[in-house]
Amino acid sequence: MDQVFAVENTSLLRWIILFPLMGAILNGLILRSKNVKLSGLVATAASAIAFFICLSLVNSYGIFTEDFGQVLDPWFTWFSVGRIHVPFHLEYTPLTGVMLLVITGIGTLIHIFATGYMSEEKSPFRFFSYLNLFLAAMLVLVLSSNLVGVFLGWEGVGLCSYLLIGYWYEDNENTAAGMKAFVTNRIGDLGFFVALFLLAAYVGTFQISELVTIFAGESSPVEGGVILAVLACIFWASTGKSAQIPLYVWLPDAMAGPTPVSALIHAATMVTSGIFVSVRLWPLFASQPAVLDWILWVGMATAWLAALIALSQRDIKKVLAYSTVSQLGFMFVALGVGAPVAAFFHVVTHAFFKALLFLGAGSVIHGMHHDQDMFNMGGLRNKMPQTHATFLIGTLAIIGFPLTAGFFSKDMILAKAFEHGPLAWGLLLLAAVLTAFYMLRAYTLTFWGEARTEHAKHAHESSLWMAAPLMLLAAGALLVGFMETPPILFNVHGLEMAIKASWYGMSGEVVGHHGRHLSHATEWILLLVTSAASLSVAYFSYTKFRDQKSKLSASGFAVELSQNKFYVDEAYQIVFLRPLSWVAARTWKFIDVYIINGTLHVIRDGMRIGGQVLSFAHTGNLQTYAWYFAAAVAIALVFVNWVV
Amino acid sequence: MDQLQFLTAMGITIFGMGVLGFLTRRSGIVALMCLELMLNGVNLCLVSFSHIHGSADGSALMMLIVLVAAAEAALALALFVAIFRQSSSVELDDYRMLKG
Amino acid sequence: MKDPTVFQYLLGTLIFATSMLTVLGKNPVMSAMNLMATLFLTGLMYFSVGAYFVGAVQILIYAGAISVLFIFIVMLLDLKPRYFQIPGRKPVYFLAGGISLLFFVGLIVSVLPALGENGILDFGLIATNELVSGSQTPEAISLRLLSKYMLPFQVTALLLLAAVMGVVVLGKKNKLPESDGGIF
Repeated sequence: MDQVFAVENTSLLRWIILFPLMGAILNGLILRSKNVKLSGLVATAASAIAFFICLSLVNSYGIFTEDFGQVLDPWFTWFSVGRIHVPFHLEYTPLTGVMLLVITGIGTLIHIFATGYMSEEKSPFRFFSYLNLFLAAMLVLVLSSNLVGVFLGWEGVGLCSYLLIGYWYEDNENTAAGMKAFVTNRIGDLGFFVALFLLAAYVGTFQISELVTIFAGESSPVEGGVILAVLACIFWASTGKSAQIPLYVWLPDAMAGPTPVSALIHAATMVTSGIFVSVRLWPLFASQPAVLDWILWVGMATAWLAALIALSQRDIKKVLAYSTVSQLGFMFVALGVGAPVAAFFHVVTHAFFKALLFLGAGSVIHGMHHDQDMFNMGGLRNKMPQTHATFLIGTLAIIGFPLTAGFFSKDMILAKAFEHGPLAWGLLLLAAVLTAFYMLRAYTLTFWGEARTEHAKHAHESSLWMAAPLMLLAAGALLVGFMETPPILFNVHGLEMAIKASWYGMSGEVVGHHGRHLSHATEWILLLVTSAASLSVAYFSYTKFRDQKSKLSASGFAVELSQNKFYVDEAYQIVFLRPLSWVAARTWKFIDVYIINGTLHVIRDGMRIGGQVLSFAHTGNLQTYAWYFAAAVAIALVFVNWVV
Repeated sequence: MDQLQFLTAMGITIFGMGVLGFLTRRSGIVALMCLELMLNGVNLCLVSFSHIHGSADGSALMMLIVLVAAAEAALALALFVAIFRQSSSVELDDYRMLKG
Repeated sequence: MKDPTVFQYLLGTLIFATSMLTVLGKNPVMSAMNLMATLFLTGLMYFSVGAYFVGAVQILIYAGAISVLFIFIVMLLDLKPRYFQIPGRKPVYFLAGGISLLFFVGLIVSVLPALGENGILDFGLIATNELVSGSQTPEAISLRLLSKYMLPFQVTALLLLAAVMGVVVLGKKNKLPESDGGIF
């Protein structure tokens, strides 16, 4: 089990984190420029430099490679208490490399887009500083070689998410959304905390490499129950960060932030960190199949619920937000059926097409003078041709149009689900079909038909700053799927190699999992069924909404339910928030006012009275003090001579 | 009683007189004199110890004390003169600025 | 060990008397004069044990300079005689006497036996009245001051400088207009 790896040391990794961090400090603390071009340039440069460092890393250490040792950056020891030793070491694995390229690459494009998008801002330096800080925190999360460092990044990205959702803090709704995101994430982070404490108490190491190689499987020196609890807690944390039932409610509200933020943080990178951590720890998960079942059904429920809500939303960003939640559900289903490669593959492709869709939506919103209601749009395809083309590519990718990125990843997930069982496959296929429906609805309502409002009639194409990242992302959404293709088409397995090489020699086979290997014929049938179902529903949706001229009205119980997001927020309000505020108010009155304040008052009064009493001794007369002194010496003399 | 004991007893006596005066006299200048008495008592002890032990350490220390006492007397008396200019009194009871 | 001589007893009695008068005398001038006598007699006490140099320094600096300074200041300020005892404050003085007595008795009781034969402070070094040759000569004391006690000796120079400057500053006339009521 403990294989000896060739460990290579490098100090290059820390610079990937340091450059965005320096960018954040330069923008936020030193320059504080009101010039959006300058702030954007600094932030983009920091991000781009990090991207090029990642490229050179990938170039020198390889990414789609089978034999891989360990590349470590032993930076410094964070803390060492008793037997708990936490170094702040960074680690490069092929899996990390893919994630690094996604984060810094898409991050750089989004920085460029934001420079155009935020052109009317009063304090852009704040925005770009937060954005860079987010990148730094995300890179800590990805690069750290131990779970405490991962937790540092985990909290850091949560903080930046909060700051950026509430970026337009003058608006009450935005700050409320920010706080909702923060608090909901905190509930999830508690799970991570518990996991760390469990590790500290029972396992004694936080190193991912040690956890994966020593504690996975039957030869694990600690009981399986502990590992199971740790994994359950990490999954609990993931439901917060990666927006799964029951903690997904913050993500749709997080769309209150600027659109580039939605694209970068709430679609491409941060929300996938739960899946990323799970894939890094996969051999552990594989050794505890019980937790996989929970992951499967939570993910499935989320994929369905979010898709159903997305069917009837009017806000273009809300549709994309719920589709993100739904796609994250797909990824968890993939984890749950024991296919980490498929899950992570979908993370990568989703990062591209969802960032593209969000930026496209941002471009539309920019052109529509910040009107986000799709029912007010319509007919934008002629006025915004570049945005239209790229948005179309994104839409096709997400619904799984053949040979786009989403096609490969979604097909892989469905194939794996079919291996697991027909029920999971059937449900997931229906969720995918729903995706096709609501995405085409959003696309058609926005770009086809007649312009339904004045804003829509006078919409304008965005500047090149915003269009260029769209085109690059569109290229990515078309091409990135070819890194991992099914055996029947091209048979490329780059990502699978990369991920398997990142498990320190562990196989990652799920214990007791006897997956049937699909025959080529079955694979072809699945592929065709999936594509046919998605595309026909997509076409149906297109024809249904193409000629929408006037304002739409919806009625019926199901539509109401969907439009009101199944009243989940209201239910949480009643079930959790109201009792909590009731208890909090009582606690405040009883504990704070009576006990804590009361104790403090007693102490204060005691001090004051004691001081008043003692101040009588303080006469101000020199001789009085001499008296005290002499009396004390006399008492000491008496004590020495006659008492002792 | 031998000589060393006698001299030490004399030193202690002078010191005790100084303490008595410092505690009771209300005039600042007289209190200062009592301080000098206390120092003198200590000096007597130092010199007699030094003498009996046959080393010059105690006497050297006594020299330093005399120096410090001289400096202290000069400064304190100057202070009293300055205070007297302000309030026409050197009674210790009259100065209670430090009262809490 | 040798017993004290008659001369030393006589000196001791005088020192006791003059110091008592210093403390109890109602006139500050008388206190100062008695202080001078006490210091002078202490100097003679040094002579009686053979510490001539120290005795000379005592008489020159203490009895000569410091006491004269006191007398000078007392006369300069023209202090009125104050009664030692003020009606109503008697208990205070009794208490002060008690404390001083405790001081005295406590020190005597704790120190003197230790100095006697077989006491913890009896090092058995010198048991004669006679001066150990050369131990209290100016040469021996100067050698000590300039070798072992070099640093304190140098620091006293700084102290004296500070004292001189302080006295000059304090003695200067205040050029600012008098504030009402003074500083106290």
